[in-house]
Amino acid sequence: MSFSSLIFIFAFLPLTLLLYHLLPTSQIKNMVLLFASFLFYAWDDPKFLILLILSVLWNYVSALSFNQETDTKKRKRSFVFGVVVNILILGFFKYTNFFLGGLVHLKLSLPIGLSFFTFSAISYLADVYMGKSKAQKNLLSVALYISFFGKVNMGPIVQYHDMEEFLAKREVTGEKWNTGIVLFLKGLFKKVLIADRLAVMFGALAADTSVVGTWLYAISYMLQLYFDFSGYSDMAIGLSRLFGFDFAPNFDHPYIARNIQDFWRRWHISLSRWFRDYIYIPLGGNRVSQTMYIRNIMIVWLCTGLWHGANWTFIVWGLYYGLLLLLEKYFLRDILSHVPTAVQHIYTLLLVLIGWVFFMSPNIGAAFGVIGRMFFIGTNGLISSSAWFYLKSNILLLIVACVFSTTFYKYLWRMDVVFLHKQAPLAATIVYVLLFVISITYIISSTYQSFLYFAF
Amino acid sequence: MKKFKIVQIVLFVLICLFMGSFLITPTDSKASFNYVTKTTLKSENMDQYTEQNNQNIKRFLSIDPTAYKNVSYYKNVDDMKASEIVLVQFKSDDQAAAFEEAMNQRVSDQLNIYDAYLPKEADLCRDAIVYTQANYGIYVTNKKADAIVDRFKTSLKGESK
Repeated sequence: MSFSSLIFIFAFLPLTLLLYHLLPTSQIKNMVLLFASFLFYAWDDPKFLILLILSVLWNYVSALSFNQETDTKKRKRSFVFGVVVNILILGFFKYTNFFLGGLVHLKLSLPIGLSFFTFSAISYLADVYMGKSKAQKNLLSVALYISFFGKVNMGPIVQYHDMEEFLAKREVTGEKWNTGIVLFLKGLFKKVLIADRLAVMFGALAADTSVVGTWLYAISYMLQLYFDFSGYSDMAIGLSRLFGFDFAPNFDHPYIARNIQDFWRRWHISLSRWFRDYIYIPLGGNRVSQTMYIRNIMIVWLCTGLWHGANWTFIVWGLYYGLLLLLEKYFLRDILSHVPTAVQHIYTLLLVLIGWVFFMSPNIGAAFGVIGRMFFIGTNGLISSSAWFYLKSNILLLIVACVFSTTFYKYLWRMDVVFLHKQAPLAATIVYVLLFVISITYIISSTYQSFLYFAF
Repeated sequence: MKKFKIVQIVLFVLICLFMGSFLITPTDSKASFNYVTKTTLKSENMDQYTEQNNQNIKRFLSIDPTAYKNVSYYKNVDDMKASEIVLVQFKSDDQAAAFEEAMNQRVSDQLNIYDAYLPKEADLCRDAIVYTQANYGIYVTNKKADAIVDRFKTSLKGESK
């Protein structure tokens, strides 16, 4: 089930909310949420619910098991075994065919959200092992942490110690309720009104080999991915608030970053934090020799690339960022600090755009083909008639997307809160209702596209 | 502590069994291509379809029909309709992945064509089914795609004696 499907918006979410708020104790509320989460997860492919339940049980028992060990070596061994089984499951479904290299092709479909809920599970084990959290004796809490429908399919990958307190007790304040609804709607608008429109343009320009057409193709993907995934994250965080949870933002206007390091502080924040806390820091972080530091960075970015998929394009994409971050640290930082802000933005956007070309391409050859065409290699001219047509007919959409990927919405939100909500609350409500109705119209008219990050 | 170890072992075995179940691949069907085709299409009104020749199979589906043991491609006579059915018998099972990829690409291309102008046909494309089992494969864009694929699966069990 998807957050932007009619069944979710008009049946699943309202019914779950109603039931949740009618029930008395937090334990019963958690049970309802867990049941709803299992239903949500099983909606499209029920067989993988078995895997999710096995994963929950495995991690629950593993944490209790190594937590009772008094011998440090045995404790570590037990913890490592717990993590290895998680990686084994992830590796089996996601990477088997890749590592078999085409010798044999197994018919393995990737369970939805596997990468996300496996990372949540590892976070639980690691937090207990590192002493950040206590081993949870309540199976319901572990199950809800791993399976909560607000994050099971596409994150955010909330770390266990950040969610722990909410599993025991949480409150739905008026403020959480209001901001939750607005955030959910904001995510829906981002997805349906912007990302899905850009998806049409991206699909239409796939075969265009002109320079302008290729740039439009890459830029439309760059913007679509941001509005698609940040829209989903806003919806996830928003609806979680309706149930009393409070998750940190997953995006912070990444396309206004001034360098690559800054970009990764703003893009898919929960994944970057996960890699930092559970891979980079345990490897020694930056408090090691230069050689080890370079090794650590490259390991983290190789894993980041691999996490996104079993394809050389993702590996190259990950290593590309590892190299860029090292280049910035050792060579470019001083140069960048002396150039105008506009140049810093252009530098970042250009490198990020090239990165997305690897990310979206089916293979390395296709990626280099697109990059070549962007720079006049292998093109059939500056602009084709279809590129010109899509540029003309989507110019407004591109402007809106560019404007809303800056902090303009924050400014609008402040204006809205200061002016509209105080002076004309009815007008503010009408704007939201109107945008909601338009979004629903788009969903009904079947121009809805599935979320891009479902693939990971 | 011992009880946790036992539960862990049981869970580990269950996880392995679950994953192992994906490695069990069906054996090749002994049913003839003719029988599979007839059974799969028996409730379908084939007057609205034209069987396409090899040239059109190459043109529309981007697959080489000579590389397969048998291929049948039925396309709606009306170009404004998206419905089509492809049945294929592989020479070897490793052709399945390439077939699935080609059919998914076909669905995606069809969707691009119909999306802006014929939303009902675009919906059909979204619900298209690509399915392979051992030495057979099928791709269906049709409002009764589920039923057609069910009949296809039944046909692979072979002629009843």
